Amino acid sequence: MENDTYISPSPVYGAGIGLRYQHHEDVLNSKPRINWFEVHSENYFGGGLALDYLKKIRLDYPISLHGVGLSLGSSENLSKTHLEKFKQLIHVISPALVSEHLSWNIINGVYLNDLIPTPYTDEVLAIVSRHVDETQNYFKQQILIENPSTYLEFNVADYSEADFLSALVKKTGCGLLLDVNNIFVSSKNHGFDANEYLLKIPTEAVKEIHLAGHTKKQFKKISILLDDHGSKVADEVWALYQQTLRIMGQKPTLIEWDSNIPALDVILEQARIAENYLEREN
Amino acid sequence: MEFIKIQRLFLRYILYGEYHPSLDKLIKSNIINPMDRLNIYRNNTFISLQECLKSTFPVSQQILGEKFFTQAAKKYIVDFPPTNGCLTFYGESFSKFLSSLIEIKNLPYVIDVASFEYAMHQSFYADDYPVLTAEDLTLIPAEKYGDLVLNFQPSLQLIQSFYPIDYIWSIHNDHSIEQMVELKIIKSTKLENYFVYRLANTVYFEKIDQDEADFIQHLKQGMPFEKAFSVISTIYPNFNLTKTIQRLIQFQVLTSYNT
Repeated sequence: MENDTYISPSPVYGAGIGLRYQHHEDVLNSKPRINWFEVHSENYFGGGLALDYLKKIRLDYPISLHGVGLSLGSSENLSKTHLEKFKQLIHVISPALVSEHLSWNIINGVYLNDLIPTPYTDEVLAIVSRHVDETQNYFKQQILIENPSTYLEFNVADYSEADFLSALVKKTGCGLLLDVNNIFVSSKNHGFDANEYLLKIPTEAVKEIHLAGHTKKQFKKISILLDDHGSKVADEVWALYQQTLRIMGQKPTLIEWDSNIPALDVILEQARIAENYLEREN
Repeated sequence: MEFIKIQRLFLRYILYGEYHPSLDKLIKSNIINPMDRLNIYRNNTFISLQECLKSTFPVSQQILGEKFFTQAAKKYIVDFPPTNGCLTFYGESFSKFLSSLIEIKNLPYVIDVASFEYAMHQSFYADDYPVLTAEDLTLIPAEKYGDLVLNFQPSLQLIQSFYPIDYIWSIHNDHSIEQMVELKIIKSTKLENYFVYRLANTVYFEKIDQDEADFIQHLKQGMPFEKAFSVISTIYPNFNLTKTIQRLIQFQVLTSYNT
């Protein structure tokens, strides 16, 4: 892939959608009216046909690369192989944005295919900061860190999640990818005030917003919200998104849809709703 | 507790289901107990990886039935968990793993079907290189043929089986059949060879003769053209070189050569 760079990064604005394999052909054939796409970087590490599609789509649209497997929150060292594959993909795609998660999924050399939360302690802040620094130095560019949706909290904490993210921004100069659905899900699961969370986030660090659907799982008498990216954005999340835009102003916004993936038009329609909210904040 | 120790406790439960009592002190209970909360991550991990295997091995799943396949996949995930976040090629050792399950002793052909499916999967995701055409080959001076080494598309895979994979595949594509447990598959005394290749974005396969398969295998392993031909024509006096070269060109699997 070394001699394959062909496009300069172009900034993203307005609404975009997550691009999944099922829609590659459709996007190439129909060239939908959408500002940008975001992909899971790891899906293209294998090269081949998937990367060929992405390179073709990149000719017409800005792309954001969203990593799920760096495991920035793990106490283990980052995988040099993973970093290198990610860097090669950046080299080929020239993405507008590069992002990863405040979570971990690798320990003892095993990859658990989920985004697992970390305690928000000084020890973990030092770990994540070191890994974000290493990644930004390796990529030679800023990365955005996404707030997770969580289904558990630790008894030990030196920071709230929002304070932890603010401290991470100060220590590393990273940007933030604010997932409004994740804030909503975690606030309901743990009983914190989503508005207070938003007010603690350094506005200027937020370079992208995520929106997605969630589902409800019943545990005897209590329900828990699961961030499954398998449905339309909930009304309460649209309301929180509107509130986020009021506080932060316009931010590039992405619709994610990763399970029960519908026809492309359904996801594009969600992006159009996000566009309407963005225009109102203009 | 040090974070690395917390991570190891999580791993023990999420992957192996071994719950350490100290997790009760680490995780807030808040009506839902810590084990139930961790179960969400355990379920997410297993379901997503099982889905990954199901999408790579749809015919194996059809043969084994969804329930058994899901159980087998769960055991595979525990025994051979992924080691990195790129899952495109997760499941490479799945067919070998299936061969270790005594429960499928009466369905031995599923092991070869799984190998075949993985080859199709690899072919689908393989890199593409510019194709070497018949015209390109005619430009090679005859005196160079002796040392000629041909390079192939990584999407070309050669698979062997004593079972009629092509027949099983055709049954799979009959979407009126949901499960193939009842199929009567008879082991042949003759090893069949399958040539898996990709044109544009579709993977195809062809049954080929043993001499052709051996010749292509030698070339793939880097044996010079003339030597490969000499080895094969000694073993198989009726080997048809022209037919094989035509097939390689027709299916666009040659990419370059070294002389």
